[in-house]
Amino acid sequence: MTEFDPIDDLIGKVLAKEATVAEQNQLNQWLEESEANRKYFAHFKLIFDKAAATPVKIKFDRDEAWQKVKGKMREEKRFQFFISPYVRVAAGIALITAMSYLVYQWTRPAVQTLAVTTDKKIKQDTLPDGSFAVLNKNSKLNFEYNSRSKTRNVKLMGEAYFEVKHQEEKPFVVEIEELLVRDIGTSFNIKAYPNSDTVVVTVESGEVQFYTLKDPGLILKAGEAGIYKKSFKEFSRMVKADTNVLAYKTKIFSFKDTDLKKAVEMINEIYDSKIILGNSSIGQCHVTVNFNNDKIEDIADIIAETLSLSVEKKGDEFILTGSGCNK
Amino acid sequence: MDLLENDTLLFVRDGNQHAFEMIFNAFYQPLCRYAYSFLNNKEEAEEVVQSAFIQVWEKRSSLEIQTSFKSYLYRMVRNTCLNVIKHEKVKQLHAKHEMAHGETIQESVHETITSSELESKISEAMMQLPEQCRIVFQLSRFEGLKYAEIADQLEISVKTVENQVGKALKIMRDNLKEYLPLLILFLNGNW
Repeated sequence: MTEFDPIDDLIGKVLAKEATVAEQNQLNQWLEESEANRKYFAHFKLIFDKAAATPVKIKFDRDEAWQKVKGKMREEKRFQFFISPYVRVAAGIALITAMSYLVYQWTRPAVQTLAVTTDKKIKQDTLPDGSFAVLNKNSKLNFEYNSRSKTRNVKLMGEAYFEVKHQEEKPFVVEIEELLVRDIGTSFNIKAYPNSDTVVVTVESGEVQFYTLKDPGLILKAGEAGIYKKSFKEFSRMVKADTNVLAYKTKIFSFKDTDLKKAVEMINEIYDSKIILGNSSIGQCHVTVNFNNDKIEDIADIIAETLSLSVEKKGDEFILTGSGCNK
Repeated sequence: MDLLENDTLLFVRDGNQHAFEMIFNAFYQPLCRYAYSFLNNKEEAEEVVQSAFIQVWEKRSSLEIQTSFKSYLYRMVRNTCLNVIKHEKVKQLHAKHEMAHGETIQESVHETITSSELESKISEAMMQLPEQCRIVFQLSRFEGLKYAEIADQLEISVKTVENQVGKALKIMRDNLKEYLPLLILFLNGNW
């Protein structure tokens, strides 16, 4: 049975550099007394020194752990680009300093970040993973690609069209607040302006899952659209999606018995020049017509001709006037 | 590292994942080693640290940290570890029981023992220590904490820390006795 001696504590204190000078002297005296004492101390010191080596040998994989933790952090509600105004410049500087320090400290695998913001002009870009995106007006897209782990983290506010380079085990997931859209080999469009109560996902090809962490939502096939009402937190499916949603990208419109008012609104959303209805009664007219990347003046002419209206160009505007239509 | 602390926290509170990842990167490994001092188990240590980070993230908007963020994280990990230990008391008792029979370490003595072999013998012997004794000793050796810091964290007296370190060394020395005399020869020159 092990018996304990106050000398053990004293040796411990000396080794741990906790001893006072008096205690140190006391130990030295004891060591002078015999060879056995010196050997005893040597054993303690050896154990003490070698014991510290254990945790150094254990490797804790930080990157792997981060992926795990990140996976559980999904509930994030806000966008990163909404850095609130009261976060001060000083904090920003500190962050940059700290980041450089960390980059210096650990050379990390390259995480490519792409942030695109649009106001009045549509932008298109190939994302770092090879996917293609078109960002409609007044939208923000934040894309993060880790080339080592191949993870893709996409956040959208506004409207964007994606053609995803599908990777079997690395899904392409777009986050819109609490909503998630996951590709299953796909091109799709997401319309999610913050001031609208609906988020609309339209699938052009392939399949996507449109869901939240709490609701499995919908699996949408090509030609279908899913609509999410934020106020009711409810998903609904449209089996025949309005193909004109993609017009901002393609400038392809297909109108069938559409009110002129609505058709003109949709066209105006895409083109920089505007078509104006000179008198509101013609807004009731119905049009059935296709446009395929036509110039705005041609569109105005074609509409005018179909409905027997007259066109007048004023600066950037095309004004249509006429006497209305028979219902 | 101080830079990281409270300014970055503002970003975390604001939901910035990058800031959070930075903090994670800075503290993950040290915290794991710290947790390991308590748990002596790599998987458990990592689990405790990861769940602490997830908790911080979930509570980020209400984070009110009085001292530094670093000590906040350490306190969280410490408390969780102590809870884990409490829940595993039965297992621990079993381990102690085994130790009382003292079979684990006494194997046949080889003619020579290398330094790394000795290290692994020591780490085995460390795992056999009574719980409080082991934690005190490991916090001192792994984390390089002062006696006063250990006393503070574990809510025990400095005197108890002194006793536990002495006791740890003594128990391990008795268990490892067979390996040690061989080494004393080259050791003599060293200290």
